[in-house]
Amino acid sequence: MGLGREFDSGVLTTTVDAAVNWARKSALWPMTFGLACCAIEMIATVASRYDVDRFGAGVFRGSPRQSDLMIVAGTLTRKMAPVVRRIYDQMPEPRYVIAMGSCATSGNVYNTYSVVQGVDQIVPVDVYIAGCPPRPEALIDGILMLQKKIMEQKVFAR
Amino acid sequence: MQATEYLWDPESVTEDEALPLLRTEKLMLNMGPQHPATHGVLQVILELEGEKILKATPHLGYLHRGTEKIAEQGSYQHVIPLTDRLDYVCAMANNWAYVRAVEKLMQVQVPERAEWLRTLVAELARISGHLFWLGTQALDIGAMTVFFYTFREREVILDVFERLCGARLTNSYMRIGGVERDIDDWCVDKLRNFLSTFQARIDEYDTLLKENRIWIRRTRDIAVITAEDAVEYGLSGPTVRGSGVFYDLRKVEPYGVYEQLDFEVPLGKRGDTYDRYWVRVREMEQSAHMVAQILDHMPEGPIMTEDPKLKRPDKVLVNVSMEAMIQHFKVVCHGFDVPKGEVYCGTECPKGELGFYIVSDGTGTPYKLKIRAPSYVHLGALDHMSRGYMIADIVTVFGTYDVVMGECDR
Amino acid sequence: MSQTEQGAMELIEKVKTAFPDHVVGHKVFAGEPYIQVRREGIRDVCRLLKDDLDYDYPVEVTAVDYPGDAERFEVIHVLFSIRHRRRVVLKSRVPEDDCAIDTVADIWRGTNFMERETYDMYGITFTGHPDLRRILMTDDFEGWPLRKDFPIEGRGWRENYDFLPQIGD
Repeated sequence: MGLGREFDSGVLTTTVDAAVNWARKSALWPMTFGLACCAIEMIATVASRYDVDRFGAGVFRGSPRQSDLMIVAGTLTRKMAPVVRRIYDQMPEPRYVIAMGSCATSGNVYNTYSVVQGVDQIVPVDVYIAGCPPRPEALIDGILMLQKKIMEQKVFAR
Repeated sequence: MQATEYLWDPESVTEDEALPLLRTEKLMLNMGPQHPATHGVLQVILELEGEKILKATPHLGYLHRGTEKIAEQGSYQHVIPLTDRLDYVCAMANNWAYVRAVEKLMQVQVPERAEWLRTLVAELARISGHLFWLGTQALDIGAMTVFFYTFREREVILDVFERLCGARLTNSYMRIGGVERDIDDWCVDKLRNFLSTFQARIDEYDTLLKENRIWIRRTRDIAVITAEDAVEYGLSGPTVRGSGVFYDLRKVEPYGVYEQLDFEVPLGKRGDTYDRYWVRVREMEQSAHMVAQILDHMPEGPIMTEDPKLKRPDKVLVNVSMEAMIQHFKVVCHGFDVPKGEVYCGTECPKGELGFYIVSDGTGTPYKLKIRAPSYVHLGALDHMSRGYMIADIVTVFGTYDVVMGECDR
Repeated sequence: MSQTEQGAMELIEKVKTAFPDHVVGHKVFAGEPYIQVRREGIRDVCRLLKDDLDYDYPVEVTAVDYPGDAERFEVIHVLFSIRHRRRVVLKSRVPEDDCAIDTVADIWRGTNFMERETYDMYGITFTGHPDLRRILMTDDFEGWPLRKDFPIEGRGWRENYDFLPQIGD
């Protein structure tokens, strides 16, 4: 991700990579982007029983400019789509998107005139979580999967 | 030495050209569909003068999914999961509102035990919905502790729902003619444990909020609406009962087993946010009281009507008997025909009066399904309720209306 | 059940005596009266119901589409009286070529949003409405979604992503 790809892959760069990726994955700050029912499960994940703050992802920011994870939770309608895109554009890199729930993944049963069939038509998605709504454990599983994906990214090494 | 040269000479300014000391203009602020208040995708265009709200125009439709159009395509049973997603915080109540409307149109008799079970889960949904409301309203105003406490209680109820019908949140538990599954001892024990500690929990929330100076300052005399205005705007549920209007469909048009239960309907006096908060907390207490009564007095019996068009036969019989297999096949694949006609049926959901206007043309597909959502009607009064207050109060107004965009936009 | 057939018939008689020209039909179902009203008389009937008969609570304003009929749309007003605990349903037919009916938004302020939604979904104009524009769809949406000839998957609006930045921008 754009931090200079001039270095060959060696012990020094892979260690720096690991350190940078570890820092990134351990402090993923999500943005409050609950659209529909999945937002309730997202809030339940933040609440007392399924505390997602254990994984570093508990500080929900209100502003996209301070966050690096957008969890699209709920049905995306065509009226809301430009807003999602604008918010995604306002997030600074490195940024990640989780599509939570069937509506965000593919539109669910709502194959109607106003529902966008999947949020990946608008923004690039890193992790898809299925379910209607997915259990809080499923959302935590998705966040852990994203963390694994972040650890495999190459920052300095080629 | 020359005198300092001014850019403009103060002596030269006449009365007419005097610069105004303070320039004022109205500010249009967009509180866009994405905002930190947890009430979903609602856009409000605020006209402000300084911090005072002159006008608040809500813009809806960011979650319009076309539920009513989908309902015109499938069968009557297909609509039940769609009704879950309307007011997604308390899905059981929405299910009941819909199946009641269809049963009113078909004139179907529901067995006794099914009515008791329906009332039980509806009151649990009411407690769950009000707990969610209390947590998010407090979170929006700034009292984060209450949020964590109420969600702890809510998880117990969601565990019971999961055991009962498989899903925590969007439970399609009711069927036309009865309910899907019977309650077992594990659920009853869990509920009795829950009830034994629930009153203490409500007292805990009261100690945190009821006489808290900050809470009172932020909610007393905010978003006041008089009883006449509330009725004229079509408000329902705790929103209208906070203004002192006795309009509770459980008492006005009793359904389920509410006539056999002993409960009170709390009414507010001043129609402000504090009164609506107080009404909802007392409603939670009354619901817990009702759940205790139901667990004590629920009769034995079937949970589904015997009408062969609606009831699925026992699974054991389906495997051995041809008639049972054909009946199962017909109920699941074909559905049932509803007599021609139309009906409106309103139910007291935690947010207000959820109504269904169903038009049937004699086939198994609804000809028209109109969902009368309380949140949609309440937003019609948002402008009236928020004029003259500060911009920080707009979030309080969202919370006191208890708007859920799923049912508002459908 | 406080709503009875007899109470429903009494209400129908009261409305009929007050406006014999406007009422063109009635029925009672499940104890509730359904009165068929001519669309020119809807405001008079609503005024009567609100001022004299205490129907102060607006429940619903919606419409039904019967594409085969001569007068295609049927506008439904559902009203409730909190004092008498009684509901009434008014039905008025509106033809497609002159798709308009008088508004009741000044009689009950709660019907403002309900009429806007009916306009948005069916295209029925409510003459005299203070702010008649689309509410659930975007302002530039073409078509009336809940009409029977509108396909459920829409006419391509949901796939139109012209706000996305293109390669080369």
